[in-house]
Amino acid sequence: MPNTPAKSRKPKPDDRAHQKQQASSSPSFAYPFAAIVGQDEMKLALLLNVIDPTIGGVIIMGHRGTGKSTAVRALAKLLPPIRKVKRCMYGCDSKRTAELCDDCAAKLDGGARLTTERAPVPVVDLPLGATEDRVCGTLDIERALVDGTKSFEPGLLARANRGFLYIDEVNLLDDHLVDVLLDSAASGRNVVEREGISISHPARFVLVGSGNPEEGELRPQLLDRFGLFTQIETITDLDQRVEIVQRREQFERDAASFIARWEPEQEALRQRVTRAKRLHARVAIDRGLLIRVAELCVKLRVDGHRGELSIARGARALAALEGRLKATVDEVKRVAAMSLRHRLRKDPLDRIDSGVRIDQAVDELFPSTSRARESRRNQVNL
Amino acid sequence: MKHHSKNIQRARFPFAAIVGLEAAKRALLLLAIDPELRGVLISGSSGSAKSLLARSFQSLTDDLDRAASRPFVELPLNVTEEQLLGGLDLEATLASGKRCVSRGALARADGGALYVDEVNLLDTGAADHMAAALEDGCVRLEREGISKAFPSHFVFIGTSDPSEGEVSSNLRDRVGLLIEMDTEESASDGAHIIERALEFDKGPDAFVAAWLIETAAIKSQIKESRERLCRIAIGREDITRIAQVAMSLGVEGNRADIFAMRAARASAALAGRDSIEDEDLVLAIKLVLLPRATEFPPSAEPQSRTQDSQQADSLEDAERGEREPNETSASGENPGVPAEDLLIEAIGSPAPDEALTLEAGAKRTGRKLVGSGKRAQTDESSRGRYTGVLRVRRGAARIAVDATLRAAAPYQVARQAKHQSKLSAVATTQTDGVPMRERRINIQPGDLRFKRFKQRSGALFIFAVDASGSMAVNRMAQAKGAITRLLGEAYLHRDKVALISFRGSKADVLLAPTRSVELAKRLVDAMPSGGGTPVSAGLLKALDLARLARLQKVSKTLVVLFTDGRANVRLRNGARSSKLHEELSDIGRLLKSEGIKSLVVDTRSKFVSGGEGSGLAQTLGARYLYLPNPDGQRVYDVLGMMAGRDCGSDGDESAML
Repeated sequence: MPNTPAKSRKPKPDDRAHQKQQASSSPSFAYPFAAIVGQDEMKLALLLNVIDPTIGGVIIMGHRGTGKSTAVRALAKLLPPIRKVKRCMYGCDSKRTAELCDDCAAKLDGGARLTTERAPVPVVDLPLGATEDRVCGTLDIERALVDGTKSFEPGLLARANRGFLYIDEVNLLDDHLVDVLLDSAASGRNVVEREGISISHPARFVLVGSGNPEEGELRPQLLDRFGLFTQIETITDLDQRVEIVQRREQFERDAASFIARWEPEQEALRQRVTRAKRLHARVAIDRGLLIRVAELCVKLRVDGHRGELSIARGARALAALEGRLKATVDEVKRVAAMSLRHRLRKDPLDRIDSGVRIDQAVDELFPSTSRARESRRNQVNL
Repeated sequence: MKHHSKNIQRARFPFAAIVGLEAAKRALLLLAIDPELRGVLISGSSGSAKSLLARSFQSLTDDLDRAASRPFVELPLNVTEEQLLGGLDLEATLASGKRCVSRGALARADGGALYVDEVNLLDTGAADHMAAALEDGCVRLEREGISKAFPSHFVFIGTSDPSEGEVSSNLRDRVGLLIEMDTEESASDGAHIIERALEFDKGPDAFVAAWLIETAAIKSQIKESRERLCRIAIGREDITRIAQVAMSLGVEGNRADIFAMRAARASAALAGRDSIEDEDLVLAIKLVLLPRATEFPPSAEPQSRTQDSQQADSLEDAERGEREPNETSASGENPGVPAEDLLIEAIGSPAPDEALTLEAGAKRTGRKLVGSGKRAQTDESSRGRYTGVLRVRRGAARIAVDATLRAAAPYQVARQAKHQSKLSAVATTQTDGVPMRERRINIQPGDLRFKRFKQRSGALFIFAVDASGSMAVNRMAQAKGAITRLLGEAYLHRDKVALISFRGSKADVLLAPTRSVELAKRLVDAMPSGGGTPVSAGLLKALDLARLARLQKVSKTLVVLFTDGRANVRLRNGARSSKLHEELSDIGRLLKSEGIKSLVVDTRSKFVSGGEGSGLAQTLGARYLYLPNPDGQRVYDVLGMMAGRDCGSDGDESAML
């Protein structure tokens, strides 16, 4: 039997003599999230998606070298573990019977109990140059060759189920892969019909994309799929800039001890996220406020209802993150720009930064109290 | 595994024997000392010995430490995605029946160097893969049924000729040191170097031997510097000064700051010091920050810049960039030399003066586009992205190993059994263990699948807009309307748009080919107008762009000329009007011979029109569109037709097998 059984096909870097060099790339040596300087909106958007994955992901667009992929890769270390069905290659959640894969559903129907285990939340990279067969999954060649059986070899979408799927340079993604992603992001399932394989499995993931707008445009359909859109620019604060270089230097000099030094803050953040996740289900939002959010979207002529949903979900997640049981005008205001920014575009030559328009509309509909302004200024104190 | 770098054993031109080219040599030394600088990009005109220099880097790095020969992978420009990233190894997979992976060039370069000559001609896909590998230090393979990550930690060395287009900005961002070679200096040095190169060719071994001592000296200096590297502390003030300069130059992102810090440290190490001095910072600014400048501090007030001045449009920046900020106000805030002074020193120091050329595209006139002969012909049936499989072979399409195996796999058990019975009937001699034959895969012609590739590049639309006279605003609006619509669907067709404006006596490339709506928006709005009508200059510029695009494998190019048809400025002065006509028809012939379609959009109002526009179109052999009122949609429709797509159809899918 070949040495790679289908279910444990994780990327295993060939780490012969490269332990040191791997420091910056291997996941266990990821730069700590808590040590990322500035870029609060991006960090907030990511955390909100951790708290409420139904927000629908985040796309981070902006200058090169501003820590976009560093932040996403750092996210993995913050995520509280989940319980998944043992030996299930899709990591099914035994409590949500409607979303089980065929194998788990069959077991359950057969009267068996689904035993679960703790597992880290998957954060899966979709690298440039990935081919469709690896994204969707396809016939397992080895099994077919050795046993002559037709079996399905899951792809990246299966691996990303219940986790995060990260696409760096998302605007360079091939069109046919975009189609695949759109399909499964919409339905939460991946349907494979190829090479004699016919299967459908759960693929519910938070889509995280990043890129530089100068490299090219994103398809509007794909853009619309992302719950939040954050824009990231080069930091112009001198102290922060110096701090970034210093921390990076320390990290590259000795990753292990840098990570150890930041562990207390990481742990604090982790606990905060865990608490927020627990609290989230109980966070309420007023009907009246929702109506005003809808008004805001009408005023800004946002098509469809994804905008309202993003704001409502974002506001609730934000309230949970800050330990409150109710989402108020304040939270709405703080998530409005990132929820709507990518949904306003009408004229292609209009700059995507419609933040000003959103802010104006928000200010008109939700007149600022001094308290609200205050809390907006120091947006997230992570 | 087929492409082992066999050149390891071959004698290499010794780095020590290279004359001059100080900036580039210094950069390579810094890179050898601190590989985390990730790479050096050398740009210079052809014949400046930059390739020789780049290759000589090998002589510095091998046997620096125990790992005797570090890989030095040289990539051809026509490298395919599969060669770059790796894929299924056909022979090994078939022989063993197990999935065998062959490493791509990026993985093979691990621990060593990757060299690309004329990196600006590399297609963007390949450049993006390199950029990703430089960033992550590994290659993530998710293709052809393989899911694997290979370590891929290498230093990148690229050379480019700026007259043949820009290096992918993605790749440029990930490489630490950027050198723009001074043409004059490199020309005189070039002659010396070529002499030595000839000598080397006559007897490489003898030549290398002659330079043995110098080579050894440099190597030991590098080794010593490397050891010193970790002892050099970088003070907060030094980083502050780097960050200040980076901000005043409008450098994007934080990567450059980090590279500059590393470059300064490596420079100190090279000089044998344990602390960073101003000269190290100056070098770092010169090699890392200046080439990434997007703006220059206004010469009058180098210190107090407002947010607004950062937004100043790039044309002003370019003009400003030509002047050196020579006035300074003293700043007593920092210990040591203030950041501004460092910057001025970096600008003033002779070697990379070229780094000041901001609007690169706009300045190069009369460039020659003679291929240097190193460019390999590409096989169109195997270019682009591997997007699917075909049952029928088209052209020289390669076999899709994964799909073929999948097609054959379900029948293996049956075929093996059949084969086995045949075998045992014939001979039973080979009995110990499993006979080799049994592990093999039985593939029959019907199983074969072939790769289908898709070219990513769509069409390039070059808009040449007559920005002369008072009606310029009108034409601008039309061009803008058409660009708006084209870019609005750019994601669909993968089209690119370039914009040239001509007025007075010259033409400028306002927008190099791009798909970015953001860039286009910024530049179209800032288009200057007024003056004479140098149609020829505008068209020649367009021709240049079109040729570049072809080098970069853009399949179709269309030139759209927005004018009132009254060309009145010739390329060369002092000739009569008939010469102008000749000039234009010459250009028309050139366009046709290059297979570039063109369209003249006549914007003159009916009352004053004397048929100049249609005459011009005739002269050029272009299509003619009379359009006195702004109507971007019309232009867009006509262009769509010319590009061979009907509305809605996938005309440019260009499934290149």
